[in-house]
Amino acid sequence: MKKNKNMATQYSILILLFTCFHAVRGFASDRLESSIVRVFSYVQRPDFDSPWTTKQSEKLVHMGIVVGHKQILVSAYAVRSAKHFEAEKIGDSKRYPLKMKIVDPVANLAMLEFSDETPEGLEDVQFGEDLELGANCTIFQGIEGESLVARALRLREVQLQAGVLTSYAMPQYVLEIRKPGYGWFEPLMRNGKLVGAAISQNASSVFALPVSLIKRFVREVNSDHYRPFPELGVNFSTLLSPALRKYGKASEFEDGVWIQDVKETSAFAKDLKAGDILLEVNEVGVSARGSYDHPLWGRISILAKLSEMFAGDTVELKILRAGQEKTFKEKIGEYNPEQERIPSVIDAPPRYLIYGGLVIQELTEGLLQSWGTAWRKRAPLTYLYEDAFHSWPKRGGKSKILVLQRVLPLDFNKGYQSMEDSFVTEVNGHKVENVEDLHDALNKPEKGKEQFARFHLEPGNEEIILSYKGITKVHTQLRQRYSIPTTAQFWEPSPPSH
Amino acid sequence: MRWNFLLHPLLFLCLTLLLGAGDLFAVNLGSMRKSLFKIHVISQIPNYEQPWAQNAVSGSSGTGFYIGKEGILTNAHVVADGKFITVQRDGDDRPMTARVRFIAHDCDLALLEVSDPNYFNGVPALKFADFPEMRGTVNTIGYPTGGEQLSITQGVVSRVSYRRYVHTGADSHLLVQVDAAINPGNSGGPVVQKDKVVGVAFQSQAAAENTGYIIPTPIVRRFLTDIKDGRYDGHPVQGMWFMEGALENLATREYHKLKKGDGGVKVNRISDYSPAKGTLFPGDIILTIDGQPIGVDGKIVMFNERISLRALYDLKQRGDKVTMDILRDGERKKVDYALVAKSNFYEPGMKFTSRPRFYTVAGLVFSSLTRNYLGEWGKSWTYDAPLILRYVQNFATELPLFAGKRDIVVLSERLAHPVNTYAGPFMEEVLLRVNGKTIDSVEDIPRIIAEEKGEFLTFEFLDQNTPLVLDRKAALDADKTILQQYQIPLSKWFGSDSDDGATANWEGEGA
Repeated sequence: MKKNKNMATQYSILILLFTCFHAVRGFASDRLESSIVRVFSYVQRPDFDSPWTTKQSEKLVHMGIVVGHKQILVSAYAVRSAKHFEAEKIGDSKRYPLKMKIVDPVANLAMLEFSDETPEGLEDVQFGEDLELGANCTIFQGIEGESLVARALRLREVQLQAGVLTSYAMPQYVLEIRKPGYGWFEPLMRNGKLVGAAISQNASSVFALPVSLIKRFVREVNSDHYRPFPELGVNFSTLLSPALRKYGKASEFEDGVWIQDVKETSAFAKDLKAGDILLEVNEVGVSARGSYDHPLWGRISILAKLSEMFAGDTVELKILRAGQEKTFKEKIGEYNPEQERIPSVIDAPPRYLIYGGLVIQELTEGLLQSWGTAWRKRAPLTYLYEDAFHSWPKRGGKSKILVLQRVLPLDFNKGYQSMEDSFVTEVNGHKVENVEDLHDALNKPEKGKEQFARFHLEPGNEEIILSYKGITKVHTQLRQRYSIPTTAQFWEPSPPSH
Repeated sequence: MRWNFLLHPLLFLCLTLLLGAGDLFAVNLGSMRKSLFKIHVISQIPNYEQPWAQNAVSGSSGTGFYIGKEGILTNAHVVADGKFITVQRDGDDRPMTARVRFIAHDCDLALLEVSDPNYFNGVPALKFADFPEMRGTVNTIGYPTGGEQLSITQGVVSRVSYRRYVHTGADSHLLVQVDAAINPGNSGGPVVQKDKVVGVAFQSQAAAENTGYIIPTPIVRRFLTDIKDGRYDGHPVQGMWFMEGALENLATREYHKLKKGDGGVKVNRISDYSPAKGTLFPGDIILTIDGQPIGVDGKIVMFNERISLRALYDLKQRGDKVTMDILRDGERKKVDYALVAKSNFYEPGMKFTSRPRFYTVAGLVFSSLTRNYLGEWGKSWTYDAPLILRYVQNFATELPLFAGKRDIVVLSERLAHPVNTYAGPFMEEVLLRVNGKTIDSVEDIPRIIAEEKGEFLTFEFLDQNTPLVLDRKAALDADKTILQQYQIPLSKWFGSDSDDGATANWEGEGA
């Protein structure tokens, strides 16, 4: 019995090998292997539990695509927090150091250059065109082994989906695949030309950036001035309900969506209001589901139009308000994830300040994700609620949420050591909405109570009262006892920042 | 192998026998036997997903004991939602029909009476001792795991604390921990020390072996005093939060001008519904309660142990006064205020009413949010229920938006019909306004709808910037059809919290 089983295994391995060989012969070419490198990056991600330090360095292997005069294109995720990166040409064991040219976390793309030596025989990849729904293409995997392994795929749909590093939504190919291990910037090819690059995967699908977004990035990187992705800053819901259409005085036949909310930082902030009905974007009609007809991809969210535009472009919106049509034209601004109340760039270093052992940090998507993969269930409810419903920019993007993340125990802060995960909303009677506010408020003690620093916490309406006396010494003790590096952000009295 | 097999049970038996000998000396079960009852309960729990329906009937059992003219004392959770209750005296073959006289869900106690007034003739009432002797031996008497014979387990009183009672999951009271196993069926049984009852067995800790909890005499006596006027008011409303431990901090002590040796706790929040509102303010330091000095840990000395000051407050009755020495802005003051019983405000605990409060219109079912409803998401509802409901359940009493609301109203179910086709995105959302008017209770919905004369019905939900809009005439016209189509026997229920689900009775059943 045992023997038989072994034989069966061997047999199936042979079949598998044959299939792989067949696949490679069918799709890969020497030319592609000279346009693909392996990019090794040594990444140190922030440690949100101890914001003064980083997590253990991890090695990532992504694929890099040779574009525009031997530059290497890779996903921003692979290199944004990297301390060092190098490339290996397929079939060549030598490592070639790389340096960063530009990284755009919104596009999830980065361009690298060789620091000194460039491997021989590299060739720029040729760009193809965006795929049509149902089109076939080939994905090349080459993380291990001497050659690229190909697999045929079909484009199932194109979805507007948040990127890997930020919540900015862009059109992404959805390709069905049952085998795990993709999403490391594997190139998608058709007829020997690049048509996309894989950036993430779930149980049954690989998500890839269409080549139009890659071409746009390469063009912008090599121009004088990089033009980032724009934002509309408008939330909308469907307008399918006939009663809601009637209530909003929308005609029975015209399409359009119900505007729910307009971002304070939106170019249209002064033009639009909740309850308006958005009919057209740049003369393209918006359906009651919020979609338009894309020539290749069929019905897709109207927001996909934005990825064809640049910050600084003029956008015209046609709306319906109380039954009257109105048109607004504005220059749209850059989407800046740092402006969000809870910034969404997951690997941005935490902004924090330590006072007398209180570690106060700005709430970020990165901090939320430190509760692990089930963070949407496990993170503190108050954090999740703010993230879900109140994360849009305020005060021109300056308003953040300060949280008391933990208390490093010392005699100095006795009585408060078990407090954690609360919002710090006021210090010495001054409203605080970011680390700079906090710093300034600590510089301004209350009249008649100059020797005390008073922190107000929500939602419990609690107060923490600590002394200013000997604070420098306390900070020295904290550094020694908890091995905190001198580079850590401790509060020190200084003139207020402006 | 054989030897070992024989040896081990023998050794075990010897030890139990020895313990058993001590046990027999400690409890004179002979005279108590007549006063102990096994309680059989047939219960039916309302369905919180379909508020017009009830779940399947189920049976369970517990223990109770006769305490005199008041009747049989047991746990509220033994008889909760009881539709048919019988009690059976130890050693007796005849079960006797019983009903609930008083039920106190907050402290998990209930009193039962039986259909035959002569049933208790010659039955001695068990007597209470004031408080169990710490580190002393106690015996738990009852019918664990549904057994037919009385079981006695012995343990030692290990701790007294102020902790959560799991029956409602939201009320905390004084309780005593014993290192004796308390199993299902033990619930409601007496815990005896030297022939006197020192408490009622009621809950155990699943994570720790041989850890049981008992409701001590002071809580039982408070319950018996509370019902003397024929009504159960409940433990006094607190609605106050203080920072325990903050006054350990030297800088904080200096800031508040505390003297050396002063203890106390700092108030951080007083709820709108609290009787302390207007008397105590955030920032006040409470130094004493009823003359008892409070430590910086928020504890006072009670029953020779250090216990939360809330335990003293919690033992009072409606209308009782509490006096406090406080420190406000550096000045020492004496304050007092009268305590009140529970009124209409959102309570995060389990409810045991006959059915949930709800209202149905145009196939949309609006229910009052309860812990029971959240239980529909399973045991780990604290993680799995929708974020907005988890958030509201946790912070309703602290959010100004919900201050003074009788109900937090949730769109809990949609009976699909063309008039409500587009209500899908609003499921499990919290209703704030109907036609622009604020909703404070489920009853507000029909009242507002009846007043409305316009073309639409609009429903606005928390953090949803799109309203749910229905054509008013079409919605009201479809109402009856939908109820018939889905065979809904009841389209609304506005019962009060006193509309208890334990409706077991013998009246109207003939002789």
